[in-house]
Amino acid sequence: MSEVSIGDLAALIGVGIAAGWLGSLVGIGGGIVVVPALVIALGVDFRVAVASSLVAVIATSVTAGSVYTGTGLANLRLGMVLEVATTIGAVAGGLAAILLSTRFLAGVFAGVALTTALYMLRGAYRPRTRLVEAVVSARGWEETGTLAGAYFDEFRGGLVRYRGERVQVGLAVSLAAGGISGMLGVGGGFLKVPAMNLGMNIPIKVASATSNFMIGITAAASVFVYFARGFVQPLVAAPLALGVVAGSWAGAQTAGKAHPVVVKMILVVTLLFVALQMGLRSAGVEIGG
Amino acid sequence: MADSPASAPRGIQAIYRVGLMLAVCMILVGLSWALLRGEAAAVPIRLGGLLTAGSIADRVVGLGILILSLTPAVVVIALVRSWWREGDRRFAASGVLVIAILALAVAVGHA
Repeated sequence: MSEVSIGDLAALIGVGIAAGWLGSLVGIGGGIVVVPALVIALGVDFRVAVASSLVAVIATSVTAGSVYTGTGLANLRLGMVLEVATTIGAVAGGLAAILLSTRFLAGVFAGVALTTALYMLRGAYRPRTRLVEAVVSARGWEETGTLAGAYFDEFRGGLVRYRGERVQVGLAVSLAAGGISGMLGVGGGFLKVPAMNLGMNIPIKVASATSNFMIGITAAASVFVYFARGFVQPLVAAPLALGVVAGSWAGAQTAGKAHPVVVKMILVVTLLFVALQMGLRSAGVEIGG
Repeated sequence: MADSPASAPRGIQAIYRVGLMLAVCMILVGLSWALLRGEAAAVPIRLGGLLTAGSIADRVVGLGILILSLTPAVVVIALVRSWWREGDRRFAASGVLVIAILALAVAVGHA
């Protein structure tokens, strides 16, 4: 794609809208949708697609953050603690990517995504959060000095209180998610959301919102590397980011009204798509680039 | 344990919104310029040459992307400040650590 036509711009915006909506709703950056769509459908260079995807991940995080932080849905303290491990993993992952083969990395990715999808599927019908009858506030909050908080769930019509448990589980998975993010150029929210939900007993909506906060920080670090190396094409990344902003806004507006099981099922389907894509790459079936 | 004051999340929300609005405005102006002036070519642009390389449209759109990319880092700095003022030193320290690691990551990327 050397000359960018109005049709190309429309296609880039359309891909961005789809990725932004899905990413905002389930707490991922949308990179797993953006990269294959750019490479296969639009013929964009793989590394340019990854760089553009990282810009889209940031756009998703910033847009969702402008909505979620106002509602108190995202637990920023929890996100910051986990982000310590994520950023360490991202640096280590970037360095490891120089040494390991892409096919090996893709195989690891496929296995992790498939395992997580199956684990999520098993737990999809067992909500663990405790619904408090009394409606104290229509907004959520965090407790100072702890990883606890609460939020008003529109779907359930009540206040949901939660307390983060087993921080070491969240840190370990965040470290791995950061490593994969650094190696493969995705947000890593598809690992962090189930880790927070199933491993730390954080409600799925809080986990998704917190993940959106986190992936922006992680992707921001990575995108400067691509910027420095000349893989950011503004007229490819920008319309994509605009589409993601629109899609993320729509996703953030509907997240509070969606049923938790529906949100989880969307995440499961997304993970299965990722597993298939990465499994094919691991087997030597190139999907583009 | 007391709840956090609501002003901190609102301040963070404002940073996200200002960063988003600035970035989107610059991107829209740059894309419009590119289409109107016939400069709509997909060319790479480096961080070091953001203000000198490429067409005017590339630079404006590139600056929009830069603002978008800097917004999460500004949020972390604002959170550290907010938590430090609240006396929530443990989480403020986590934020400082994240900023330090981000700086390290950028340095490694440019090396």
